[in-house]
Amino acid sequence: MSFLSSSPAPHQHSQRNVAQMMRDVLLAMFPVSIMLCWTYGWGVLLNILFAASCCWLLEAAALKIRGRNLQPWLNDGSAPLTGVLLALALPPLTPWWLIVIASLFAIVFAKHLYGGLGYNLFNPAMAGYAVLLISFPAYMAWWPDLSAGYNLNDTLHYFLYGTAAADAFSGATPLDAVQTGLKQMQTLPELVASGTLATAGSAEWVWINLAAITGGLFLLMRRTITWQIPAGVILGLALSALIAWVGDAAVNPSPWLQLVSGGTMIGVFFIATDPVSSASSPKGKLIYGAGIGVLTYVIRTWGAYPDGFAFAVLLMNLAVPLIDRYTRPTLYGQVQ
Amino acid sequence: MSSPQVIHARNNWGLKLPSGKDQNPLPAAAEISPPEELTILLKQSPGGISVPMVKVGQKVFKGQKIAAPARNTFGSFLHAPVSGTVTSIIEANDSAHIKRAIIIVNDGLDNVHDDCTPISNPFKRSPRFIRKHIAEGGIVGLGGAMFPAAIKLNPAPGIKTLLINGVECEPYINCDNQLLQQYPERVLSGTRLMLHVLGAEEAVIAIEQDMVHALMTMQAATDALNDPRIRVVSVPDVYPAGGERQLIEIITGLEVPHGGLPADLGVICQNAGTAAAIDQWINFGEPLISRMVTVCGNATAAAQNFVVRIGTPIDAIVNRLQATDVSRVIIGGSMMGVTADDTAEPISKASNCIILSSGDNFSPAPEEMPCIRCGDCVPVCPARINPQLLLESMSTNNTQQSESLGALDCIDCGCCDYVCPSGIDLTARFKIAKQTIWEQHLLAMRAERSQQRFADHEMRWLTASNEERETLDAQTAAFHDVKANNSKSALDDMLKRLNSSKQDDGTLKDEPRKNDEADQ
Repeated sequence: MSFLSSSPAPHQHSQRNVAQMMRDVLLAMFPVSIMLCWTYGWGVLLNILFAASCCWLLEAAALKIRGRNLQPWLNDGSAPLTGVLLALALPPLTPWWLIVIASLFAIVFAKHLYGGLGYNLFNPAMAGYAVLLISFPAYMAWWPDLSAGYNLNDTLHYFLYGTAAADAFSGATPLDAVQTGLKQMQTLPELVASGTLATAGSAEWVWINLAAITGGLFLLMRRTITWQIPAGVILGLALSALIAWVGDAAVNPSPWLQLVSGGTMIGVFFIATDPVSSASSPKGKLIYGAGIGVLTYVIRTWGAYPDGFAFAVLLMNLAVPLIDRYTRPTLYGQVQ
Repeated sequence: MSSPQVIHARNNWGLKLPSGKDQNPLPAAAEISPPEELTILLKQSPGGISVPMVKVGQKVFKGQKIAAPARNTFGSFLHAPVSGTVTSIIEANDSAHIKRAIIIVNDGLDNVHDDCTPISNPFKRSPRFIRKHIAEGGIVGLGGAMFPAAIKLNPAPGIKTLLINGVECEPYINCDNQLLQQYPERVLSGTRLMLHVLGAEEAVIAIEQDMVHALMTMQAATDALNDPRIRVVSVPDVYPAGGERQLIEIITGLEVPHGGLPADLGVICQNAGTAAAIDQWINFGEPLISRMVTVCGNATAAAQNFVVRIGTPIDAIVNRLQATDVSRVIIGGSMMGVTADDTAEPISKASNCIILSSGDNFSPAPEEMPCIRCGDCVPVCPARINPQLLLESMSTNNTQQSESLGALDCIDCGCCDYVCPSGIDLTARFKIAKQTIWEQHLLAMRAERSQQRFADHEMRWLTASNEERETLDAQTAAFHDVKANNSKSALDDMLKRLNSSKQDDGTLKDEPRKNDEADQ
């Protein structure tokens, strides 16, 4: 009896695949998305749904233009994932055209012009977000006041027209509040005492970050991500903050404040761990993560932007080929 | 009873794979009765194709030598597994499908050849004699590599440890487990013979920790033998802990130097099955004409081990098991096994396992996607290659980079392939990369040689007198003529000149590099 079909060894495979990994990450972002919606209202949900569909449609368009098959690419889940990551980075109230611009840049420029899934040098979501940060800083800095209580109508109005329907007070994230306060020569204890931080939602952001950690632990358990990158980022950021904080606690936020204000943990577990644009060896991942942590601290402290995570990720993306080169494991037998 | 020394994992490479093996004590293995016709492949060692010593129509006895290693190769002797008649000798160009082989029709009598006699008092014989005798018995590494045992047993000075590999780490393969449980004394006896040949201080019998019964029987037999040189150790059940270099790393904590051999560390590694085969040949006079084979897969009722004569077609096993609906046959385990083209393919000395599957015994790899650089392949690689970077270097055809990234160090274990979420057939691609690199080395070597020839020619011309130069120029012109026109007369002229310039001993008069051979 002769057989026509033959396949090369190994014949056994683990039951993992790319689409499943992407689904895992999407699933892991549920808790933090719910927590953000809970804190900031309908805008977050609107952003997530709109950005995810936008990215998905643009992915389809890009594949079509490049003459690629829509399957399996459209089902791998990477495009909606980019959309959700982008949405979580944006302020809860963002006009729709900004989301379109960011999605376009993320999917078409950062991903498909480099060759599509697996070939992009930069994290697409962060590339899209960075374009908005640079081009529309006012919109990106405009966070709704937590006490304003935006209903669905107000949210939709802002989403469609980019102007607030009712008298809206511009709020800030705790990180913004810290930066603004320090510029006005206030000290951190004063900011805490005056309640500025609490108004900016420092307590709420702790919960948001805890929700992100929950999702991150799920990904670690599922082995969708490895511990090296999250550990690297946390260590890099916390140690930088610790040195400054020990030096002068009045003007330098504590490591704890750095870790739980702003979407730090979203970045740690869902953005920095993007496989395509990060380093590949365990050691390389640790260095890559630490680099993001330190750069985030540097940009937050001395940069013009309140949160430096996106730029830190993009800068470290650039360093990945170098990191990969210098963290290549030594071949068996070459160490003696 | 003492218990085996337990060695813990020091490394984090490899995979914890579901073993797919019977964890209960194994019943004695049955023999598959030899079929009417056996096909003995002529390539049963990595060193080359053996040369037939028999003619078509010749009667042969069981255990009679039928093929010898070709000169200057690491080949091996082959023996008739049954008594009968040689009906044909298949050369490479006879058929594209069937490989070079000797076909023997079994007369069913199993008449044993006169050469098949045990060696009495082998420990009184010189190591050299035993080693030569092991080569005569056609004994090769039975772990799958088929490297001639006698060559490995060449006692280089300073061999301290003989490592007996009973670590059957690959899923499904269970033949060494059977052997260790059923014939522990054979393994021990073979081990002692090899210690004698090598003059080594100690022998370590390494068995995987989940082969509980094999560990128990081997430890009991070792205790009973009471040879202080031999001990049993239990190693972690990680795939591929049974790879030679990996096992050495686990046991000694040292790595075989890059480009070196285990002997550089004072270690020689032999498979447990090889030890048993040596005992069978030296003490019982039976050369390597049969082996233990695991037969499993979803087309069979249960996994079983059989003693099978070398050359038995897989068909005979399928019929014996009355396995129906076999749609695919894998020779070897699930990680490194080769898919057979045909069930007429015979059992060779390397066939440790036959997986008979009907339909999908294994779930297929995920549909291939581009590498997403997740890096899951990096920590699992026992050769410590970064498979993802290697793949990248291959996509740009950068063979030099592929080589420096360790393409030639890949041991084909398939770990990276197993974990790849993008379903990329990394192992198969790395095999191709290895091939390409070797070919390029060959080309480079040839280019270097012709460059040397040209340089020699130039030197001759420069140092020659005017008359000699004329002759040399004429030769060059003639050579170019041949190249340009492929002209027959010019070629004849050249040959004539070449012949006339030959001295009586057949060497050229002005042979440029007399010590060419000595150099190599």
